[in-house]
Amino acid sequence: MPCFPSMEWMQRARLALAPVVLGVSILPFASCKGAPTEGLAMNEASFNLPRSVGVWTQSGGREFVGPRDIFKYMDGAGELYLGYRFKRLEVQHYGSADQGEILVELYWMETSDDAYGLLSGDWGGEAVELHPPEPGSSLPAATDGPRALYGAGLLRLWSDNLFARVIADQETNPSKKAVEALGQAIARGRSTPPRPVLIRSLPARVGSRFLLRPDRVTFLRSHLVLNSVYFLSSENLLDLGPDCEAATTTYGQGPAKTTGNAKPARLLLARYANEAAATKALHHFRDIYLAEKSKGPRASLTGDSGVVAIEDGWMGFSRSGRGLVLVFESPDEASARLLLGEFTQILEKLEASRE
Amino acid sequence: MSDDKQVITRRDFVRGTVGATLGAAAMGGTLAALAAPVPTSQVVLVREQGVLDEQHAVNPGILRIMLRNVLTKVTGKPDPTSAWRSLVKTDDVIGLVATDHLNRTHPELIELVRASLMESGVPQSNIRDAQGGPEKARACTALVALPALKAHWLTGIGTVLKNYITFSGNPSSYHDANNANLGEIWNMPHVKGKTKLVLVDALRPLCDKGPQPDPRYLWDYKGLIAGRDPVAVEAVCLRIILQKRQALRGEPWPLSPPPLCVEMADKKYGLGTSRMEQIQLDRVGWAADALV
Repeated sequence: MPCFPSMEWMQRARLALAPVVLGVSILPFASCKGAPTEGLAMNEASFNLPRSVGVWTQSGGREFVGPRDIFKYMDGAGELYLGYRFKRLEVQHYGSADQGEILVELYWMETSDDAYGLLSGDWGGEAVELHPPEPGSSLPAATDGPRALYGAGLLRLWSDNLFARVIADQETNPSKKAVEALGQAIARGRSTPPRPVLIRSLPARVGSRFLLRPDRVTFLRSHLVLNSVYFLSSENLLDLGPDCEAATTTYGQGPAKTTGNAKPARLLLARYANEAAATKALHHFRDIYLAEKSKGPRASLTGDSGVVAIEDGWMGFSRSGRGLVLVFESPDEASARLLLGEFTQILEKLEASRE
Repeated sequence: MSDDKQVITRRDFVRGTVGATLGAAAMGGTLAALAAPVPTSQVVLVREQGVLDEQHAVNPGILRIMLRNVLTKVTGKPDPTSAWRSLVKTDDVIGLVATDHLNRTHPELIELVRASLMESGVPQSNIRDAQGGPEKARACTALVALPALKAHWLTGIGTVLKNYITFSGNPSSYHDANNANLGEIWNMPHVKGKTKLVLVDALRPLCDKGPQPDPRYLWDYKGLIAGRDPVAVEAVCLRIILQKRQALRGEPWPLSPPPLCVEMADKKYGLGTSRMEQIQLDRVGWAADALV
């Protein structure tokens, strides 16, 4: 059964938000549909932002940050964006007389999946509808989850290959409306590709016990990002990198927060550039993470799949083609095998369908 | 450790091979079950409800009182002047090492510390901003660490021990699980023994990663946390961050990557104690939601 958390998310969305709620000056605003960054000079804006929104007006020009300068902009923490194939950042400040500043950061990524990955690092906050219905129309169609999340003055949004942060330094009702209006202006006219295929393939339920936690779903390519979600190792045991795509989440035993002490199982799906890379990654992982069971004369885990009890529960791995499935902290052997079998099949179907 | 290259894995934590004293907390458990040896280090926690207003602006008068309480409690001296004179000499070149990114140290606190030192007889010319490269530490004979309390997406916690990362000259080599080695910076020749006071700005901490601050994870704790043992101060900070995270989500929300640096600073680098049971926590002021 495919995962469609959309209705839950949509119920949380602020449907009452109207595009004309603020006096957004759109005179200099050009639709950013398909806004390409290819071929742009480094100091050339990809598209125009509204000159003013509410009482906030652009102050200063657009700033531009490339991959080489990201560490200067973030003072040593640009690995997050580089881990999602960052291309360039554009920064625009908005000032007001007495209601503080609003900062807009536009992170252009290589693909929509990369921008989605940045949003997926944290599903907390209030869902915001970026494409509100036209006046007189019915409610917007259900989507596959939020594309923008707001909390405490910060709006984070995914719009095709663009990830954006819009943040007010003073959170008030007017600043919240202005931040949301800027988010809508950024997304207006842009396409809305689906979530990454690995994410779309996650079933809402596995067997009769395991339920997906949509708010724990993360798409990633970097082991640093994986470690920030689920610490696995100080070394890049899974050979993750820009050529990989990976998804991780938890499957709880029952609805979220009603599971008592039942520990959720952790899932990691990864797809590599080719079968050889997946095989090498599995060997790397197995040789270190399961060293005592994969090396030496008494090795019991030397194939492409296996299930084993370790310190924090049952762990399973399975490689099929260029895909790799890992299950951690499963409560028992049968559950580990169930989860492993389910997700191995899913990866095989994806490969067969060439998705 | 998993092999000769000292690769640290999740299994090492669960086994207790590393992170024995804080691993349980870092991975989502509690510290309550640990043994209870005799306290060896003092940490002072001073909080005042009125130090921030509803817009999070600092009340300098209340902050001054908090600083006075910190100094007198840490040193046992009756006033700030005698307290500072027990910590530094008036001819020391004193470096104030504040946090300048992610969740910055409040400038009001930095300026109060500077003013308090001057009132204690240290010439203004001998007090400098020492955050930066190794040459900044080299130029000082005494350091006052002034980090702000925060989590960090590459090191788990990014408060006391990480505050000197630029003194290494190679900050990025201490990220991710290499944060375990942050303690070695405190033992570098140009740093070792110079830190006279660790004073953490916990007025408005940040309890989740970054790399840019997410205001949802900032909260008005309205505290200062101080001591002379950097590891003990960090351990108290870590406890507060973990408790806040659990309170926010209503379920364990471990720091990831785990903050290996805290226990390693204790066991490998001998900078102080990371065990809460060895820490005497002296509290002053507002007690609600102290989280520790």
